[in-house]
Amino acid sequence: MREERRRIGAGRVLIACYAVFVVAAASRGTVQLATHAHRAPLAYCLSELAALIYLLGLFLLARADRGGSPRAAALCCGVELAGVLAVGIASIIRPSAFPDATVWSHFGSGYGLFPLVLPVLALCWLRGRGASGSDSTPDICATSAPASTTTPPAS
Amino acid sequence: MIGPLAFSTTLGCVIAALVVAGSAIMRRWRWRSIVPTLLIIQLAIMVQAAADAITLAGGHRVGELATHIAYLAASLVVLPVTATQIAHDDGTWAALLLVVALLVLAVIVVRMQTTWRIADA
Repeated sequence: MREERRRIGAGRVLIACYAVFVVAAASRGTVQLATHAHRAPLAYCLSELAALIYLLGLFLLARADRGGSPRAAALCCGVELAGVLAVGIASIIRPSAFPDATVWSHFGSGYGLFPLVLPVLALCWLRGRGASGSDSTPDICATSAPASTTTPPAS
Repeated sequence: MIGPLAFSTTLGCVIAALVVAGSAIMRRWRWRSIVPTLLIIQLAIMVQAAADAITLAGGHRVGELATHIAYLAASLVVLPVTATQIAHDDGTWAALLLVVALLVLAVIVVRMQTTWRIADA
């Protein structure tokens, strides 16, 4: 019996990125809170909050990738983007409030500004998905792939 | 940490990521072609992990032991997990997923060197 596999789309790549940030933000915040919480409690709690938002985004994006409604995921990505912008601006105008960096300090410059780009990419993907009802970023190599590896997306 | 091996692994990950990205852009990406490279990188990671475990067991102290072990564990699972996801998929997004994994692995190895050096300083 041959197992049918879904081709990897943009959604899976985004989900993988969110998974990386869940682990990175949660580990960072947990270790910092466990070892030297007194140094910058606000910053460390914000890292934990970021981890929670990334975790929620991960589940909602995974649900949208399987054909679920993209609205909840878009709302979560919007909150995430607002958080990155708010913490980024706050860390610039009031650096004294952040003795140690958070995941979102200076718009995520510690992570190559990827925390700022990630929700934007997710929102673009969700917007296309909401418009077409399927992954709107078709694979440019799809025509060269064997037909047995493709299955239609769940609706 | 075996310094030269860590540097080679990081460099190998970055070069492999660039090659995968380039082949995807040129529409020449085939998952089978990258398997030997991934096996070599995974072998290097496993040798590094074994060397770290032996050195730590021998009494070497690092500044952030929990962080270092977490990075070590993550470095061991990144490629196997990604490889199972992209196997039999010659699509561009599969290539991009592998590029992300290779770059994440490169960052993890660099961070492992940092957490290892804290005790040396």
